[in-house]
Amino acid sequence: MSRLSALIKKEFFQIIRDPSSIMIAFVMPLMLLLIYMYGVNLDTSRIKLGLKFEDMTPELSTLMYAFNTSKYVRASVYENTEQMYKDLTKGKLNGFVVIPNNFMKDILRKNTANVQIVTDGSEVNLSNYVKSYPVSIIQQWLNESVYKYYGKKPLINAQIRYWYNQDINSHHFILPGSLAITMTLIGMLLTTLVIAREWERGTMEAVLSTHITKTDIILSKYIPYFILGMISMAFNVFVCVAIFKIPFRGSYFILFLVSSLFLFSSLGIGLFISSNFKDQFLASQSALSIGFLPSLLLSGLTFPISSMPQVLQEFTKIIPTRYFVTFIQSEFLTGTIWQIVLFNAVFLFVLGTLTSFIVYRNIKTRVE
Amino acid sequence: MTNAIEIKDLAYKFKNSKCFALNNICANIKKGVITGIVGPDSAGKTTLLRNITGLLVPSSGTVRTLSLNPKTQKDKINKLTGYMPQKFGLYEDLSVRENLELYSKLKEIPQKDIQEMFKKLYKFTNLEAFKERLAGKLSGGMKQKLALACALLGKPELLILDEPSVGVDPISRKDLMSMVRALSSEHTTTIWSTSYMDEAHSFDVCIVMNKGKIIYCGKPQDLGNDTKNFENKVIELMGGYNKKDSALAKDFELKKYDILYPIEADSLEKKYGDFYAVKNNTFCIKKGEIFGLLGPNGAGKSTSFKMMCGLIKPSYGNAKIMGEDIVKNPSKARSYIGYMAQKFSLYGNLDVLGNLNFFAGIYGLYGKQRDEEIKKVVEVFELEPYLKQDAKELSLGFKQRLSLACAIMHKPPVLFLDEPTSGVDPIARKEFWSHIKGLSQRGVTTMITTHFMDEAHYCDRISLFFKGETIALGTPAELIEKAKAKNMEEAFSILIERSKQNEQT
Repeated sequence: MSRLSALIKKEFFQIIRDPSSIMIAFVMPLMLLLIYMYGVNLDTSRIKLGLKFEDMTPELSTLMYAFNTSKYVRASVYENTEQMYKDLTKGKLNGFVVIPNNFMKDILRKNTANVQIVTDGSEVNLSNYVKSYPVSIIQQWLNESVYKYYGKKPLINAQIRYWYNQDINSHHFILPGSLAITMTLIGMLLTTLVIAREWERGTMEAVLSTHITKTDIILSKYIPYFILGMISMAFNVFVCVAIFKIPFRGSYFILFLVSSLFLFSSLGIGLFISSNFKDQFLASQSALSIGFLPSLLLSGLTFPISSMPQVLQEFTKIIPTRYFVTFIQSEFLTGTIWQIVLFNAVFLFVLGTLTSFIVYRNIKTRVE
Repeated sequence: MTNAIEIKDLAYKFKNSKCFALNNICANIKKGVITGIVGPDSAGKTTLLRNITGLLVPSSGTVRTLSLNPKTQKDKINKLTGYMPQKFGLYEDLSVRENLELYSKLKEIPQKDIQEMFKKLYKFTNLEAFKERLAGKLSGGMKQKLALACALLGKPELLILDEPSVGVDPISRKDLMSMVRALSSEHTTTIWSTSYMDEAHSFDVCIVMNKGKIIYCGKPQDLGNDTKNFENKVIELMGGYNKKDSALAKDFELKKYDILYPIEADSLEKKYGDFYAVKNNTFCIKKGEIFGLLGPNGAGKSTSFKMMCGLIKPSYGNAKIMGEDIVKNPSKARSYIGYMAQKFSLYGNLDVLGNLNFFAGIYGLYGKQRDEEIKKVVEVFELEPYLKQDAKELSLGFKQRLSLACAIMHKPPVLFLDEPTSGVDPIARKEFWSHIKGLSQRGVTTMITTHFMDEAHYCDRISLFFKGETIALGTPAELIEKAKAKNMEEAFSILIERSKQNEQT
């Protein structure tokens, strides 16, 4: 016991005196949060839309007005089609709408009127908005105009509400999700460095010829970084809730419990990587490529898992961040849902136990 | 039983390696004496020590350490040994006291004995005053003492020291030796690997190793009655050294120049806060002279070096290289210098040829001239078989050859060599010096630091450095005379002791 506590004390001294671990634990998460808060925005900004009215019927001025006053698009009216094409190519427009010559005539004759919408397909996400906004603007214009009943009445009228996130503010789910990324960073990056560092500086060799046991080595790495990770987690949750005003509807106790399971499993992966390298540079590179990047890309935070190919979907099952992202987003947005909590907690626990078992097998008590 | 360690037919092969690092080793190491292990770099000294402690498991053969089997009873052996690895194994971001406390806990020393033991160790190491200083901020000599103190905790039956004195000044080395002798009793067995011949000569028993084999095991005094003879005998055992003229110097043509003093330092000074790392350092080095900077660790030798080649800006004073002002025109002045840094500073992940190409490039050689120069150094330093090997995998002797090759390819009139021979075996050192001597005859002016006192004799003039100041300057003979000493080593200690006393009065 006194061996272990001496080792843990040592590890804490190293953390406190080495600015880089403080950076990874507190400064980097803060930067990530700031970037996610102010830099990343999945919500619609106003799209830049070109308008060309080939049909100059006076009634259409109300349609033009509808476009100009919409809070979703920034419309500019073109006289010259060539110019509009050029601006789309240059990226000044995200797309354009052409109201053809006999648009009004068709409506008056109760025929189907055509509208052409062209979008810049190189930005897939944005082009979806370019596709749907003009349609809804025109639909709305039609509904408010006298031509409303020229066509058939719609049979179904959909009433849309966004539950759990009424304002459809993407920050409400991105920021909690980014906490998962931050925690992965701490769990994996910090711990991958620590064992490799001992080899590199030759301290491992000296320590291995004392009374130290395998369990001592492993616990002396798990415990300090677990505590550091939990403090960092608390700090991040505080920043999210108190400063960025992200609504938290769940229970802090459950959040604490599942976070510690998550940390347990990602520390395990970090230590597993670390135990295979005696070189800090290699260890950190592999932590980034086999630990951090998959967590970032495959956890479902940035890209939905359901739209990945089957093989990758299966692969995501061994990434702890996946379970934590799901859990933390629902814990923040909807509150504690026992099914989600239990399912993810069980998986995290299994992964954590599995990795710690592998770490135990893998840690060497000899030089080779 | 009188044998602490019994080794029989021990062989060890590293993974991915074709040849054996240890090849059929048989030896018995006696209890209660100090056994030295000498041999060139990559002879297998460290591998042997690790096999003894159980840090490595033999490929074949048996080792009995204190009647225990290192393969299965490593835990028990650990409890009886104190092991000081080559890299010291200190936690650099822990203070002296914290390091000692950590290791005392790891060795499960009873709480009641700790204070007394610390007191004793502090006294012997003179580290009491530096208790709260971080280990990383200690000088090389102090680190080595602290590491030894950590190894000595718990009064081990077996003390294993793996090249504890590489890059450490003669005074600290002497202290270390007396510490080991004072703190070990007749029950302690000590195994000490070293590349210093004077150390090896002073041990009770000495094992000479070469290429994974033991080539001598017995009393060092039987090989030679003094260090010099002992060294010659050891060199002979290793296959001998053929004294030949340096092929490097043979066709080394310098551009003609008529500057009397290619290196001049004028009251150089470097201050960190209130602390003078270097104080009022003035000297001139004549064309073709070999000028040695000697002094304990932390005396300011490396700082002087770095100022002279424009890597650190002096707080006061100036230096000129080939008449070029190092402060005003650093890159011009630097172009005259060939520099070999204290630590191996080539690219470990590049192969030998890659390093040569790179350094030729940054020293401004290109095209045909570059290829010719590279061809020449490859031939001179016999690097041909290693061209495709990564530099980090070379043995220390070859690393040092490669470093020198990279430093002289552009034919600099001035050479700066910062501890080029630390940790290198005697044959490689002799070879190295034959090159330096030859170059000096060709008009290359050299400034060099070393901790080997026998190397001091190769220098034309020596500046003895202590606490940032020059305390003596002259030819080796003059310094010995001044100190009224028998040899350089004694002169070194006496002059420094004298300077310490002057300071106190």
